Amino acid sequence: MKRLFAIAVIGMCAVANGAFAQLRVVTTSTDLASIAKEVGGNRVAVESLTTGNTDLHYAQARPDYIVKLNKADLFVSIGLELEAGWVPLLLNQSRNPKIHRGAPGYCVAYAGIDLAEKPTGEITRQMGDIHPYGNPHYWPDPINGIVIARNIKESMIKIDPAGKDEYEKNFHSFKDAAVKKTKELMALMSPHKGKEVVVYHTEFVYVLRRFGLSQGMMIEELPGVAPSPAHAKKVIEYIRARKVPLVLVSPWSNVSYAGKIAKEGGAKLLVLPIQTGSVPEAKTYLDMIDTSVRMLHKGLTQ
Amino acid sequence: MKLQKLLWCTIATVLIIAGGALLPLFAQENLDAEVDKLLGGKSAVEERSAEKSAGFLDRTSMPNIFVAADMVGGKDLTAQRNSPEALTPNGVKVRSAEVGLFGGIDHLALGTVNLAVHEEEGKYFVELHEAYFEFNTLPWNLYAKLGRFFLDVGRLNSIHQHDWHFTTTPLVHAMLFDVEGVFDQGGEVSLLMPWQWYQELKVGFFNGRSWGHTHGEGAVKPGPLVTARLKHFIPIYGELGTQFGFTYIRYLVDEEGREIDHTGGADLTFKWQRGRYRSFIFSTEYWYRYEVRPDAVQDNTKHGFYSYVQYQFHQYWLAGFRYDYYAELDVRSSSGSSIDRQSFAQLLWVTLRPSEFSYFRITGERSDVFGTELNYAVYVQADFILGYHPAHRY
Ligand SMILES: [Zn+2]
Repeated sequence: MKRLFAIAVIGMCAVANGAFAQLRVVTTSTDLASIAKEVGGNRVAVESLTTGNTDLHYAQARPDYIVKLNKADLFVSIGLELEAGWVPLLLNQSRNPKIHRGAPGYCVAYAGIDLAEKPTGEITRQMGDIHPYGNPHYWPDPINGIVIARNIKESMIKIDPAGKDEYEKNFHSFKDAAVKKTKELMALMSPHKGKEVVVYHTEFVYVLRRFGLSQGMMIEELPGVAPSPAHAKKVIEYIRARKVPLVLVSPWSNVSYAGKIAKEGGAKLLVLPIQTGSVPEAKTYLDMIDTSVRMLHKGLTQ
Repeated sequence: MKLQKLLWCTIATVLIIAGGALLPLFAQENLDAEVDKLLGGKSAVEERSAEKSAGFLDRTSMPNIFVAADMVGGKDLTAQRNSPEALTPNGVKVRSAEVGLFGGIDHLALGTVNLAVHEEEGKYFVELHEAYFEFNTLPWNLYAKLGRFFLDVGRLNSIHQHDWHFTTTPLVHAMLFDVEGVFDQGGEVSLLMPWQWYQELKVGFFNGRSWGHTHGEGAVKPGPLVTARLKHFIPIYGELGTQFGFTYIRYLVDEEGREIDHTGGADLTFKWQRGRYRSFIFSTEYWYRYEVRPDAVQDNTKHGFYSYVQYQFHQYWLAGFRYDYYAELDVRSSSGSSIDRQSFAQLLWVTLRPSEFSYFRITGERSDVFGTELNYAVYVQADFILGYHPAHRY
């Protein structure tokens, strides 16, 4: 009986110890969660607040997210106001100063990234209101994925210095995998260099830039602003005149509208799953990159 | 001059095309160098405090500022006007303009000040709506608010009027609370329950010198105004969730504390949203008040509810319907018999919301207040917000 009790106590301590040692990481997006898992390995338990098909600009401030943030050791967000409509309120209510802005448990993933579409000059709301500090959809470029991983790694080391060696090791293998994948996909995409595509919302600019494609007109009049009939007509004329082969749209944007424009202009519509978990094949971050870029390749080939 | 320009343009174009063709090749070969260069830059740990994101809770010295303007026009379609809504029946006016400041005070708390400019009988005057501390760094899952603010009772009372989904105040709120909600001086402490799901318990203690939105000092009472609220959230499926809560308020009416108002309420909300294109909300609040009046013939009982649905059928367009009910129970009529005095209202509206920062709304209202004549009215509303837009609560 005594022995049994001792075993039970030891077992419980081990369980408690194991649970305690795991760093609880909460991210706003599935891509950040996937990268955090790669970097953290067994030392972390990672959870994303949103799913692979959430429009991160317009997620809801759900109170169950407060519970998740309340228990987090590290909070990772995309930043640049992408989540400004829902994250500040949740952090404020989290009762967890460890992850408040400025605390070691608060990690903005964009630090060090070469931002596209950075506004120059005066910023006014008449330019649309959702990309005020540059384009925040930077994760679909796998090289930016490495920078995100580096940022997460450094935050993890800061909170859990004992895991430094493991985080460094995991980070380097993720970095190598990402570079290898990028080179492979760049070779695949090399025949399409310089081709131009039309987009619904400007959320593909980083992946296009990486693989040598260029972004033509936006169907949205301004980021977040639906097209007027006059603007839609201009886009259709643009597609026809320049023989643009593809119109890109994300699953959470206005897919049917983008489809109409593509059809009228004579281009193909491609719904690009640029978030981890958006489609079943995009299980991890690098799977998502692979799936998206291969879809682009296929769309441009046929 | 023109020729020179043309020449430069040609050279630039050739260079851009050549560069564009060579760049991808160059890029692939230099990928490792690019990665090294990027990783040599600032990391999140170094740049954490450099985020210039106004929407994030920060502790920079500049507060976030917003200005909201709320304009309403009304037209009575019938002669009689019985609605408790304090709108000018026929005409347009700026109902209120609000200035809000919000920011980190120090390492412990956030601060908010909201000033409202109101119209009352043709004159505008400035009123302090809210001025409070928010302590968001407390231990044991606590959170506290201290100062002057709208009481967190039910759903609607603590939402600023310009953020409501409808133009006029529900009957039950106009009768039991105030057209624009009840605020007071005091404090609220809330506890996030340590479960895996969301439950929050909140208690508040306030001066209780007056009730509602009055501008007078009120009388000193022997006890505080006390509030208690229990709030829950349950995710149902995907982006559909439900929030529900229960509230109790105790208010001492007279200076001796013999007359007491006990108010209890329940609120329920279902919400669904798909990105920026479609959303649905159903929300309802029920309130019951028992007024203890030792010197009167009898105590008073009042109750009522509102329920509304709103559906967003386009990125910019929403339509909604609200049903209001309010009754004073067991009231002595002139003949001495006991009757229930009842009021009803129905509203139908369409809202155009081109961005987070403005909306335009047209409402049709049918009301029957205390069994007098049926009243039909139409309202138009236009609102805008400048500066920082506080996040929408669930
Ligand atoms: Zn965007």
